[in-house]
Amino acid sequence: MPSSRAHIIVDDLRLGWGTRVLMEHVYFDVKRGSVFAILGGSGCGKSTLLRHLIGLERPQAGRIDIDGVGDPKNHEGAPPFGVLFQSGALFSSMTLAENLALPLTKWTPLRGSIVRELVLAKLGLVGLSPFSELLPGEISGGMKKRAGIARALMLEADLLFFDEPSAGLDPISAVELDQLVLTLSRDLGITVVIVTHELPSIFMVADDCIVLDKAAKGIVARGDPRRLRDESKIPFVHNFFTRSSPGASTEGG
Amino acid sequence: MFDFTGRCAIALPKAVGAPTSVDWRSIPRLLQEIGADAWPVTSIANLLVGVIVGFLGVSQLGRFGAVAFVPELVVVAHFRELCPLITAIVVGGRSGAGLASEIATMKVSEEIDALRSMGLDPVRWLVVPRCLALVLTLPLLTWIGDVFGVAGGMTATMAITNMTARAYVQATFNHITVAHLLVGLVKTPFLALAIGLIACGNGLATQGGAAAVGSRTTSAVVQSIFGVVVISTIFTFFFALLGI
Repeated sequence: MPSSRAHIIVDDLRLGWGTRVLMEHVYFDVKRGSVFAILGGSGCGKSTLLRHLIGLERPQAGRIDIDGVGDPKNHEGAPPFGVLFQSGALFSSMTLAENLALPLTKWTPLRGSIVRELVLAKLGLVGLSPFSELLPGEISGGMKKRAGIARALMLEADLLFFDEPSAGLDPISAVELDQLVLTLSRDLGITVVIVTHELPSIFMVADDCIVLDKAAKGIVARGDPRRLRDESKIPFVHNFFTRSSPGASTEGG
Repeated sequence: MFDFTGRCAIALPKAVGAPTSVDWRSIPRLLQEIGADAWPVTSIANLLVGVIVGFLGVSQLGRFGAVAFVPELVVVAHFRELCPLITAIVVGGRSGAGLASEIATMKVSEEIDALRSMGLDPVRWLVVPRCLALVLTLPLLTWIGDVFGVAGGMTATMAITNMTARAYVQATFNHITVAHLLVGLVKTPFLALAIGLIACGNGLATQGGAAAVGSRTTSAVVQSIFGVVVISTIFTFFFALLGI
């Protein structure tokens, strides 16, 4: 049953290393069942923010609350989310089927043929069931990403994090991936947080977004990406969404 | 490194309490790679060291007409000190490099992050089975190396003296004691643990890209070999103090 409470609440987050502050005063929330994009130029800290959201890094200050539990590190048992890393991050010594089975065998009592059926079902969802016995080194980059999504779905989490899902993919594969994201969100009610700077993907799938700016050390805009593209008066945001050079920012509207 | 060693010390009892947090399925592969694939090179290294000790013994003891003591010299030097040391150095160079580069590559390709995001502790999942495989295989490789070391000493002695194989073997068996064997073997699990912790620690500490993998692999090998020598020295000192 969908809840009106935000799925993720980020409250006054400050990220950095040692005395270096990468971004501060970061506030946002992600609605349950929505596709939320974290946008910004290269090196602005999008992936770093994602790493904090999934608990791989500790913030210098502030609070991340996922599903009302709090810090992602505080979750007991199975993680309440799935993650697709930029490279797919499949375990190279395992077949696709073994990669997908890993979270199940770790966190559920399921074994044997049931695991096998679930693995094949998830691989089928991303169109990879004929390749279940191949190693990650034997498949293409796009297939690795789809397998990574399937692995992220194995524990039936209602929250998925995708780091640059379309990066390095051909246009057709990228569109297929975007459609998969839409299916996950619209049909299955899964909340999806995407880090990307692929504009076609953003406009196709994202309901809401934040735009990070390295110079501002934080969020410079928040809202529907289509609205930001058409209405934002902030030069960086306008340039970002219209692919304009900084010199053209004031005329762009 | 101390921080990492502490994490491993905490991880071990947790791994016993939660067996699904350890990648047990990798153990046969690791035993194959660290043990079965390594025995030819460790054995040949020990054979050659046995030859060196044999030649050295004949040349030095021969001056005093004491060639008959060469088998004892080979047994004492090889079983107690040289074989564990040489075997651990070869394993440290070979498997230490392999383990460090494997884990370092996993780190830079986000596989370690993926493990952590799935709620798996990389120390328990990766380090425990690798250290276990090393602890299981290094004593075996050392024991096999002992045999090859004796063969090397015998080859050298027979090549430049009139001693027969039968006489050499007889003299060797006369001098093999449980103490000599155990003094050599008892240190091998510690040497194995040092190699495993140093290699895995370097792998997990990798930051950056391919250059960092190479750099960490080199560090792992150098530190493993140095660690092995230091631990062997400590054991030798300890056994000398105890008069064993």
